[in-house]
Amino acid sequence: MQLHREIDTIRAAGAALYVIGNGTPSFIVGFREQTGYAGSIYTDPSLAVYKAAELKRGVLNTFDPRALGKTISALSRGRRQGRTQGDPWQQGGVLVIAPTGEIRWHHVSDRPGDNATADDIVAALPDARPISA
Amino acid sequence: MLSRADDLAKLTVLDEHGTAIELASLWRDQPAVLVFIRHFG
Repeated sequence: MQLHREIDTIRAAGAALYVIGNGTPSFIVGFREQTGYAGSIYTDPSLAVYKAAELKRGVLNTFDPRALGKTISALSRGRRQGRTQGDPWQQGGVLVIAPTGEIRWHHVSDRPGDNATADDIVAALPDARPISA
Repeated sequence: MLSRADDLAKLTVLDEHGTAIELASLWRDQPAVLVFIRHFG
């Protein structure tokens, strides 16, 4: 199950979910159109947040041999990748942060497809739930 | 491994209008799950 299909599970557990990308603000519109995602989404074009979140390794590791192999095989079949390579939901990493500022969980995706699941995330949430949840 | 978000709290992200949002505001009222995507576009 892909994480973006389980966003309701995370919200039901009392957390807010934010998607953070790294393009220009205008790319947010394109991402919404491509994926149908209507939730909160922001961008960090300077990558300052990615670096502070220690996700640099995951984000810059796109040329993983396994991913490269897929690209080469796609090219050899005469298909070229467009501007967006692969799954737009491919994760660089996930942080779960409590209102106290404590980081409850920190997942760095070290290769394409190494994605966090909703179960991982819900397990990391603080016990205290908002009354409205 | 990060244990505190203090360094992150001071940083900002941009919304689709280019408005800067203080990162700390995302987890002030409830736990926040930040999903960083690898590609964007």
